[in-house]
Amino acid sequence: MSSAAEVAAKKSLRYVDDRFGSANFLRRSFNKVFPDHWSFMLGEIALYSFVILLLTGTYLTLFFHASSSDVVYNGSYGPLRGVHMTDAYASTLKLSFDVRGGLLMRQIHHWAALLFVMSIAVHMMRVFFTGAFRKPRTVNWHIGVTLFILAILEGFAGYSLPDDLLSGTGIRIAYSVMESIPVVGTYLAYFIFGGNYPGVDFIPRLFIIHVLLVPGILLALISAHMMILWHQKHTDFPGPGKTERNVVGTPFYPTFILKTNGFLFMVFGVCAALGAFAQINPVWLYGPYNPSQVSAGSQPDWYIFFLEGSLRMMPPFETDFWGHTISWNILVPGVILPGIMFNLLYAYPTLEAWITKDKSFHNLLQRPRDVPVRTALGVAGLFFYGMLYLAGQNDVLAYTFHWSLQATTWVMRIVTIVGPFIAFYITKRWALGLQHHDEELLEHGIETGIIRRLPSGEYIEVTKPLPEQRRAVLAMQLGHDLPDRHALPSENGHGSGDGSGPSRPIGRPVGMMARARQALEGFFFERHETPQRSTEDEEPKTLTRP
Amino acid sequence: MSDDTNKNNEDGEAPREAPKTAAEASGSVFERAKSPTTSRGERRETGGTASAREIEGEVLQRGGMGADVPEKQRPGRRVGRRPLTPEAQEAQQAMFTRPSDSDGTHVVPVEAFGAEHDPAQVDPREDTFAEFQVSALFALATIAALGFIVCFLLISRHAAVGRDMNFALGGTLAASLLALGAGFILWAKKLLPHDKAVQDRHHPYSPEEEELLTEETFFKGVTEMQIGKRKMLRRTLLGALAVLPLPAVFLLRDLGPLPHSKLRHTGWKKGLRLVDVETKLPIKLGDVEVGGIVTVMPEGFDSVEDMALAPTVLIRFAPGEIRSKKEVAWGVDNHVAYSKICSHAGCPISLYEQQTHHLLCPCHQSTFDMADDANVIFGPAARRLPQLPIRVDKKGYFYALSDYEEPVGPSFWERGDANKNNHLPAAAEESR
Repeated sequence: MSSAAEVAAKKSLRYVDDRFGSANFLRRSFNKVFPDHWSFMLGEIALYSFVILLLTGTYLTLFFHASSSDVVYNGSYGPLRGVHMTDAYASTLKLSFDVRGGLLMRQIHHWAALLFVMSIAVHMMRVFFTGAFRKPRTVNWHIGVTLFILAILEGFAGYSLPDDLLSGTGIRIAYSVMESIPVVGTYLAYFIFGGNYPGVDFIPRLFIIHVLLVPGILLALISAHMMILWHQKHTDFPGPGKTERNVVGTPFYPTFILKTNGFLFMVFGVCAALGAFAQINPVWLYGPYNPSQVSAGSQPDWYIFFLEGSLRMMPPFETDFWGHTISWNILVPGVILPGIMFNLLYAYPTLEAWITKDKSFHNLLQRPRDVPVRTALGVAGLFFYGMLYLAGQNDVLAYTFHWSLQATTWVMRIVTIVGPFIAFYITKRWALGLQHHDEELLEHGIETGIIRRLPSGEYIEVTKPLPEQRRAVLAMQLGHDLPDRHALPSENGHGSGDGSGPSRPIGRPVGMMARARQALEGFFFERHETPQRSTEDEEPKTLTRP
Repeated sequence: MSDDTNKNNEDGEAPREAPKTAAEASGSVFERAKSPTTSRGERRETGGTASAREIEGEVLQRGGMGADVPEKQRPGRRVGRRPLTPEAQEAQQAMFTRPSDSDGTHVVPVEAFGAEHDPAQVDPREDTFAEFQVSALFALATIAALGFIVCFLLISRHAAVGRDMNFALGGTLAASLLALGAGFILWAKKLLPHDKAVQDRHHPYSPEEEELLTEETFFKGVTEMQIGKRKMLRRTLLGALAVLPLPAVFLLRDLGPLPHSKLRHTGWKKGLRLVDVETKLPIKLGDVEVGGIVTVMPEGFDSVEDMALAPTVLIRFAPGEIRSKKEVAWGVDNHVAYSKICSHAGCPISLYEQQTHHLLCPCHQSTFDMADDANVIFGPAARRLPQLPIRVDKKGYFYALSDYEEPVGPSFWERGDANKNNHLPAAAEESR
């Protein structure tokens, strides 16, 4: 570095500090340690695809006309010349064929949107299965679930804007879902659409929701998400030298900043490559929207599949009473079911903490096998979601594999209900088996395959103890972090309070909730073996408020 | 800020101590962490515990350089490393078990975490090669970005309906971004030290006295405001807060008209001819072949709202195929007209199976038996499709006897049980 540049850099640092007194903050930020693990990059993908969405989306707004007014297309795409269409659709065609790079930006935007929702979903799975949502990160989990829901809404609003035949069908179904809400549904739909479907007000309204309202909320919540992460410091997996009280990794500056910027450009690059070579949402092939037409095999974007699937699988229930109708066949799969699913996601950290009475602070992550019931619940939930997802394309599956559509749907209806229970059982046994294996490793070491005969005639199997470091980490993973039912604070009368050893609850718990909780606790903690509490540790195993 | 630091700022450059160790001179994270300050800007004692102070002295001397080697003679940072002294190893070990209470960061060689060796500890030739690699990637990023501009200017935007342009622009943009990203990552991986940094986590919650003080401050305010005591004030405030959002609700009122009975009516009226949705020409008896199906609209349809609920299918059966008496009565000469809007979620139903007379909705696969008054035989739809009563006028053109007798399309709260009105419309009775 030349000395002139050095002086300039120093001067700017001073300039900033003189105005904000930020030297201490900056230094601590530079030194901020970020742990290293591939799974920690999933959230980064989500963040960076959001950046790409903002950049490309802003470009698209310069050309898109959010208007339902009727125009006759006269652009360079031959097959549609002279066709009546809405201005929204016509401007999308113009953007695609008459603006250089417009199609590229549109395709990058669409790919980045798919990636955005996908990376949020996978990031959420990582957070769930490693227990990263536990105290003190519960609120950040809630923000994350909100981001997930908003991302789905934003995606739906986005692909509905071009007003092609496919997106129009999606909006038609959304209108029907609104109509199905008891008492207020019709009014809700009328106010949102400005009258009967399709109306002329909806596209401009959807546009402002898509480019201002939802992105604004997303931006605010993502900032909050990141600031909380920054403040609480990232979680990490147990490993050599890692404790509940420290972070081990690379400093924010310069290593992490270089790597993460590199990653931003890689994500952008992959989206650009997809936008260049992988066609997505070719609206010119679908044609303009026409309420009397639909094409076979209409499929929404992937994140809507689960709603589509639940709508397709629902049996035809409808109730008429006192001159009113409740359309269960839309209300349940379109409103109630997603409501329950997302509320369960919101509630899970609180539910788990209530069941386990785990009030301690957690910075070290768990492996899925370390908490078999949580893992099994997660897998069962994913299985259910996966079945809805598959059912969203039951016609395509039936067509591809030459199955009967009716049989496919019926099998899916049954598997969706029964499958999660089987998935739960298998996952739990699997996790317990892995735990068993780990405990054997810890206790007996690695099997060498050598059988030795003792002078007494007895045969023994020779095992080699694990390396010390590996042993330490394994012990940490197996034992330390599970909320220990015996180490409860003394006030609740369920433990000695010092974590010194087993002490059964005195008397039966009083009240229905307490008994339910205790039953659930037994269910949650069934595990292969109570971990041996190591007496060598000087540090407390969990961070609990005194 | 204390007076001392102010003075330093005015001088422009704070007097800095000369680096005492190679680690300090190299500007590593550790070096920065060595002069931590408290949040008030005061200098703070580093390394609260004995072990941490030991690490400062011992563990982090890098590159085999001691304090006595002048900075300029250092051959470069990444040339091997002196094995740790037993004392240093002990100090390092101590740090894992007993972290320092300073807010600083401690850099620890990567070997301490079980790695075989630090990939950054390479010989200078490899170092130069890595630098070359990264520079090559950055150069590639520049070239690709320039290529983007060239393609933008040279390629015809109309060639192959924008395909060539898209490939060229996207390809160059992707190459540029990927090369830049790979360069950054390679830089971090090959040229930066792989030392691990260990940082203490601050306590997740505030010290107890801090919490108590906050509580006290909060309740002091409550006491001063006397919200508990001043009932009238509290109630009027709650009243104001409850009523204030109402204007906002009223503002939203004009978002749309009230539904009234609009969902019960479509664009069909008595006497309107059935016209083909594509050609807009009226349909005559004989235009549709046996087993054929046409999408029709009311003659003169124009508004978008008509388009939403009015689409209707006109199906012609072979004589005797229709099994429902009502269906025969509402149709004419083996022709029947049914709403095309699915009674489930409102998609236009479009897949007709000629042999079985099944009409299937491509959205959620509701299937209707058109020979049996559009009875639902599969899928989530709970109701038959409404039938449009039709007749043929003297010139042979189909026309509607009335609007649909029941609401078309998906159910809604006010719909009620409209299915029971299964009688022929009055107009149809008259014409018999």
